[in-house]
Amino acid sequence: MVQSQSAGTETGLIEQAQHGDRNAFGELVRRHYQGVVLVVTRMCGDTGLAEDAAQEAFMRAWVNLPSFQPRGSLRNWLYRIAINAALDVLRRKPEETFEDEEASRMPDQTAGPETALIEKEQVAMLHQAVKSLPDAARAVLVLREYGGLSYREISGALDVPIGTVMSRLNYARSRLREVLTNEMETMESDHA
Amino acid sequence: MHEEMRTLLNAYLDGELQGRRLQEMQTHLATCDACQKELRELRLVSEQLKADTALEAPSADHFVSQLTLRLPRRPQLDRPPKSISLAWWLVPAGLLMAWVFIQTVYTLTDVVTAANVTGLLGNASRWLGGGQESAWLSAATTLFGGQILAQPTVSLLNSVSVTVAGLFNGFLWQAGIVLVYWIWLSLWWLRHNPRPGKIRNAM
Repeated sequence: MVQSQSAGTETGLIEQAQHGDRNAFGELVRRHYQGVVLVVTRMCGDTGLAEDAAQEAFMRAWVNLPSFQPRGSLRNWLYRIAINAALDVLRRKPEETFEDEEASRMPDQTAGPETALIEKEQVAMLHQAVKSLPDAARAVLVLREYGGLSYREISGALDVPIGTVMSRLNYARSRLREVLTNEMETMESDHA
Repeated sequence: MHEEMRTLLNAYLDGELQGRRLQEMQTHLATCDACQKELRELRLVSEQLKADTALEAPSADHFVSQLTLRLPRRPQLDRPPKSISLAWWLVPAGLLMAWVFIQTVYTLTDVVTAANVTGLLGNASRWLGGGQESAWLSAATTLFGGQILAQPTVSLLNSVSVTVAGLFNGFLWQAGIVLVYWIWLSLWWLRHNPRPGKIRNAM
């Protein structure tokens, strides 16, 4: 059990984890698990690889936690590590083909079957397009769209100027917009 | 559409524009159909991306239990001895005290000198040992004798020299303290802000 009057606060948990308290670290992982998994999944484009990346990210976080300054944002720090871990996992397994989890996802049953299928195809296409983005542009897009980081936070996390964040985000979204527009046009012509 | 405008549209979409730039963008959007269309499409992309955030990932509890088993042993956090930690606070405190001391000495000296010059101290100023002499006046007195002190111009020049020397001394002391403080501040900042690894293979 985490024992301290500051156990509930993130700063307290960080301090305890920095001094080797695994339970405190576990609580921190629980708090940031969802966000980190979302980031690595969208970076890797595959749930299996993402799980490896998430494990690796939290292991690195554990090892490097003593050098973390509680004044900074743990979430941003973890996302930074998660992006690196995801890129490393992808690099180690370049020959593997991604089994797109979108393809195996059940469509939304509340919508009509055709609408659900179209939505599913669009989302799958978009996620495929995200995977095809260059690493640096993908990292910025993922941190913005899934991590919810501001431009300044992304700039700090990736150690690039804000102008670079803006241009990479513009590039990524323009690419995705093209994909989405083409997909919608194709669908319209198919249904015509 | 110009890339710069696209970049600004993205920033507008993300709520990153403020002040004058935000107003300019709102004004422009009110009249530009092309930018409105672009913004709609960008918003659609963003919404589509965020639409599906439910992931088939293991539960957090399961993940944590697996992770905890794999966590490597980590050497205990190297905490500096208490005396060293204390030194980080003593240095600026000592510098501040030194600065206050020097300021006080110079201020008191100025007050006493001014009081002496205006005759407020009267006979009590004898203990000061008379007026101060600059180095060049001492040399001149040795060469030409004591009568040179009777010249008002020489006396004025001597006063100016003494004042300038005092100011210069004061400046040197304070500059020295500021320099040491900056060095300390840099060391403190470096010690407290170790950078985690950079994102590798950034574009």
